[in-house]
Amino acid sequence: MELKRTQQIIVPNYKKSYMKNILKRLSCLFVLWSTISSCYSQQLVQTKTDAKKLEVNESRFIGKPLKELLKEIKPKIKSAIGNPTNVNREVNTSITFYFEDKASFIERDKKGEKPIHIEVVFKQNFDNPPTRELGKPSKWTKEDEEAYGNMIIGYIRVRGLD
Amino acid sequence: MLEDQSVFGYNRFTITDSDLFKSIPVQPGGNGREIKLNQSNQRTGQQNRESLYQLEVEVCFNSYVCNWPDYCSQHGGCDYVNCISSTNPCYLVASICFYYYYDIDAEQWSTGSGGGPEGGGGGGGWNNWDPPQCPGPTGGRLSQYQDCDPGWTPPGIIVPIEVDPCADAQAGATKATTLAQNSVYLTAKSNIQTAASDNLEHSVTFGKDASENITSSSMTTGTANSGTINTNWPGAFADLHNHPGNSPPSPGDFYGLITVNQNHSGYDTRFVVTADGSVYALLIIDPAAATTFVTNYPSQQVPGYSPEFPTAIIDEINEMKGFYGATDEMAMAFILEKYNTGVALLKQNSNGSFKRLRTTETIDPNNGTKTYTANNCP
Repeated sequence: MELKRTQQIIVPNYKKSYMKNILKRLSCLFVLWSTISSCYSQQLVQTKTDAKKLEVNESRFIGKPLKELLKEIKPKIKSAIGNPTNVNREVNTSITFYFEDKASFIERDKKGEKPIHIEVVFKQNFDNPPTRELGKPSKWTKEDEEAYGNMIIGYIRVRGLD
Repeated sequence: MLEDQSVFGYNRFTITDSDLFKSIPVQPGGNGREIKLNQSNQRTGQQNRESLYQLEVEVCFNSYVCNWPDYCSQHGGCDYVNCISSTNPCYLVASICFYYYYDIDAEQWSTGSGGGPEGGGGGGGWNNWDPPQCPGPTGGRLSQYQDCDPGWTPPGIIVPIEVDPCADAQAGATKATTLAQNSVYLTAKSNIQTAASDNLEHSVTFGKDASENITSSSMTTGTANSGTINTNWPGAFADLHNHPGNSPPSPGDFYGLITVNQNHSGYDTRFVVTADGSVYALLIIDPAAATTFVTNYPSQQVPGYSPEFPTAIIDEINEMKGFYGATDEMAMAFILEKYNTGVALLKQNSNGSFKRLRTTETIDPNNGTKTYTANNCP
């Protein structure tokens, strides 16, 4: 034990400052790399038709909060339909996301088209469900994203064509 | 048309293509155009053939009067193939007919009095019409003319005989109303509503003893994802459970009731009381239709989650609610009727009577927009 203490004491100062510099530079590089990579990392869903990738990669999202999934979607979500405040155990709690607003959905519906939509079914949380109701007519807002962002994903289904 | 006659026995056909028989002027007041095949076994007088048969084709313009204009306007207008009910409100007041004869062997129309049933452009006879290129079989017998449709339709295929949906559920609704006034039911309901404060589901099964008295099972408490219902209660015919929220009967309730009914035919009603005190009932009105529905549209269920309708129906319900403003109960009532599930959704009114919930879909002919309105039975 004495020997160790002596060894530490006799380490020259210039060596200690050299190590510090190396560590500083490495941490700077790490921060820089993280920033760059987060800025340029590709979201999973680049286009509407990519939405199917969410179902294919479902295991990445199961058990994770909704906000993790939303981060991976680049096209703007315009509408959402669901029952996030559900307390009925017989009914699944879900939100279905559309890239269409109400007007464009209705226009496409008239033509018999079924636009792509993402159904997210959540793990039931009857003890502390969100209190905010989804707006009608179904416009998806930033407030909704915050209110439901922590709901835990159970499974994902993607349907429709674009 | 001849094949429809020989295979299905249809002798009367609605003219859906206004170009057919257009050489015959529409008669004043004749709102129903039809073709009748009257005779298929008439020997002709021609001597150079051993056996020839003629078909008498009668083209008629019929005038009908409707006793109940409101009913008829909602059922395709007053025509002999439309507006059918158990007591047909339409009656014929006048009929002007034109007769033609078709030689089946020679495949020729008679050139008698009318010169044959001309149609198509230019009055050149319908054989001069240049037919469209239709891929595969014709598109079916639609009520509106399309290039690849035959232009006429036998009534038995396009127009199903309508059954009054309110009459269908009336007996069951009356039975539900009577039960809901019974003290056994009222006690069970009160117990369930008291127990519901734990936010779980609780259920009771109703049966009848040997003397036809109403009995009830003891109350059971549900599991994490569903209620547990005692379907083996002696003489069981109905059950009641609560929903912690205010949602109407769920897909799980619906599929579960059909399954129970398949095993106990007299077990045909499932009551649901919601947190706000509303009471709904699912009622089996056509067990065969219910079985067909579950065969064609089985429930889907991810383990650990609740049973659901097939995805196409889930989407339909979501869109009705999210984009067209329908409520939960309107959407459920609409789906049950649209898909001929053989199950009716009832709701207790303020007088204590159960009435069938119905939802009507209207598509604006000008812009195609859908509207859903509650059209509940009186």
